[in-house]
Amino acid sequence: MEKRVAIVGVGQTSYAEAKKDQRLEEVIFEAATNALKEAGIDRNDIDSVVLGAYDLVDGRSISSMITAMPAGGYLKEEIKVCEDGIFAAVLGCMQILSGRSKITLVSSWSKCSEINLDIITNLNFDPFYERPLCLNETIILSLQACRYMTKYNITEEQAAKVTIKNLRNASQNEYAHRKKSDLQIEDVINSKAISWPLKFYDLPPISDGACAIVLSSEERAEKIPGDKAWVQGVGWCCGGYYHGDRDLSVIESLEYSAIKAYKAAGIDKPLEQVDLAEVHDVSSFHELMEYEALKFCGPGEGGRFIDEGGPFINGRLPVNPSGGILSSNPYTAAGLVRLGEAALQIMGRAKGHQIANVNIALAHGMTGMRDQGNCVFILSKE
Amino acid sequence: MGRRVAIVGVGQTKYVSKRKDVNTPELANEAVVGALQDAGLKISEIESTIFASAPEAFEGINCPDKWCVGGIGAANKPFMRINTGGMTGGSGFIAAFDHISSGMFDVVMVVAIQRVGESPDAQRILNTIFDPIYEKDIALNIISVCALQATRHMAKYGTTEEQMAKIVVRCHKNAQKNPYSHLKLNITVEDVLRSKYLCWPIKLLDACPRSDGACAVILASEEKAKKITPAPAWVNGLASITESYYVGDRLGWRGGDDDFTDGNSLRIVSKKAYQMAGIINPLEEVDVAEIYAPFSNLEIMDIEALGFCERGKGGEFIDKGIPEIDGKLPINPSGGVLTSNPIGATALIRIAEAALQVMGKAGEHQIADVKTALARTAGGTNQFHNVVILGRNAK
Repeated sequence: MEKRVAIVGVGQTSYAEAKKDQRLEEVIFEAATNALKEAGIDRNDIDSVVLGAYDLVDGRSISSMITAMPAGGYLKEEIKVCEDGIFAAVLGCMQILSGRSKITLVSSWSKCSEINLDIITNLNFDPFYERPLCLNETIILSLQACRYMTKYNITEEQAAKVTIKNLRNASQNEYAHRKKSDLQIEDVINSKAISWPLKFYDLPPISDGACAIVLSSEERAEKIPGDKAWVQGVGWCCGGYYHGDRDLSVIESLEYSAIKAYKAAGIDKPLEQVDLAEVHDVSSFHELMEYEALKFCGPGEGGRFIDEGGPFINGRLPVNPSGGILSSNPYTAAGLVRLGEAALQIMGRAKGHQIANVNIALAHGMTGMRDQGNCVFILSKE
Repeated sequence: MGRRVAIVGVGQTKYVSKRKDVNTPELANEAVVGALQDAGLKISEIESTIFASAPEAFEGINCPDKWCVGGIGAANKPFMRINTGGMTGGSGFIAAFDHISSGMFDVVMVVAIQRVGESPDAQRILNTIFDPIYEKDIALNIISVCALQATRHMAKYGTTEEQMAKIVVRCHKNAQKNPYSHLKLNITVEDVLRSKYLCWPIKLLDACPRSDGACAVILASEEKAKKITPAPAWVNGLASITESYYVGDRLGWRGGDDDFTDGNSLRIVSKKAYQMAGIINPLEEVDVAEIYAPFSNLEIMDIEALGFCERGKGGEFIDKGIPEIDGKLPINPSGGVLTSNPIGATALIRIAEAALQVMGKAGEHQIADVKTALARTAGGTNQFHNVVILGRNAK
């Protein structure tokens, strides 16, 4: 990218089972306020607000009518992207690069305790051929996991190691929802089957929570003190709709997104050049598939990569030091949290789960069913 | 500032009550094919796609964009969906502008669609935009909120139902010249006044239809636009703003004199767009306007807020015939939202029609010698506002 965009503030709420003491607006407000405070600016400094939200998940039509206000959008330019929050960050970057905004606040959230995601995600499927089969997001994830296991002889034990790693990492993250520092492989394998091969611990919880990120133009960022995370590359892509048209063991649109982002950031050896990754671990198996799509290892080598300890917090390329989505899943905001956590690592503000010497960090977010849409950000310290 | 951007192609479907012969991706496909033909481009030349559709409750599909990617040639490319209610198509257009202006893409398409015909009752769905605790139960919907704005305007400025009716008659007359229009009734002011009340003072003919339809617009960077067409429509100004959620909070502007019928946030955003386009006197410099007015009274409010006349003089502006197709400033020569309203696509249709006027491709409803066209789109309960200014020459 010719001009540059910086992340200058990240705000989160804690992620929890049910925030019964707060309305959705209050959860959003908390994250937005935290982000502005972290950046050391106030609402008057923002030129635009970009939201990432789905009407059905928010339980109301045109949900931005109300949610724009707690996110700071009153009498500002404001727009809602109906994708994972990380896509709102993509549009926020473009607003800054076009010169129409100097500071943009990106916000995303979910209050999953107030909805039934299985019913909502069933409505994502083709109404004629697929919806009557009672498909939902969990079932389609399990079909992908099955295919991946079969094709590459991946074991349930290897997937279990992802959960163990992420929930152990989560125990150091003050915001995390599910934390387990002593979870064993047997605990994961013996946990209740939800949709085989996905068991209770192979799947994320569903959480209430919100995340907000402040983006700034290069010129404006110079006036903001403190460390920044610079956007060096971004790639995003939407794959085909019908899962029958795809090889379910490969996340093609993620491969494409990664190629684009790596190219923009000048990365040709991800395993060596990337210091840390926050990925959209929508299931333990999916994190393994994502290692492959992101070229941290070759095709079918996701299991071996974790067996060798690569993605552990002290490994060669720590993945999800925050605990990832397997520990905290504010559904629509899950990908934006990945971007926020990657930025915090670069800025040296990740507190308990901070990795030493992070110069290049990768963030990955996903949108839609069966990994249909993906987005990759590359952030750097300089 | 960023790079210059122009519109190089427009595609529309005919707007009807219910398209039973196509599914959602097929309907979107018709608009996309139309836009590609208009621009003389192949789908492989579209680098990124923005999908715009308003509440999914209309179609009964969650994330209809994901289902449509095959039908609109968006698969395996950068893609995102925008939803800002009625303004969705306008917000999608601004997002597409940013895609190009930022320098990240050269040719981008925005596809907007809605199938209101799939839902049994649009207003029942639109009741779910209101506060679930305080407002939803009093059966608020878009019609009743707009009626409140109308009565306020009537009480404050003496606007009449006749003035509203004149707008309806003009829109239907203009729609007869537009092959894509849904309604094109041969009606008089008396017919409008005699039609049944939905929510006083709004009557059946003061209200838009509910339509199925899609619209696609292709945007390009300066360099590409010049290669694609000799007559692109340059995006010379655009701006967007969000008002307060609760209509009752839109009071106390200008020292307390202004309220929810004065369009104060639209005033702010139109000034910003005029400034970007270098427009000082809108009435003199704008040649044609496409205004998002699903109910006739909203056009009067917008005429004032866009600075075409003084505060409270919107009704007089109508009486003088200024917005007629042969008037000084033709408004909605396409027939406007009063004659076709596929909700998520409607805002993009305003921009597409303004572009067609600038490009000289509007057919029978073409206004002579259009140098500058304005498109104004809105969403929520007149809560979101966009203003887009297009020009034959780049600013």
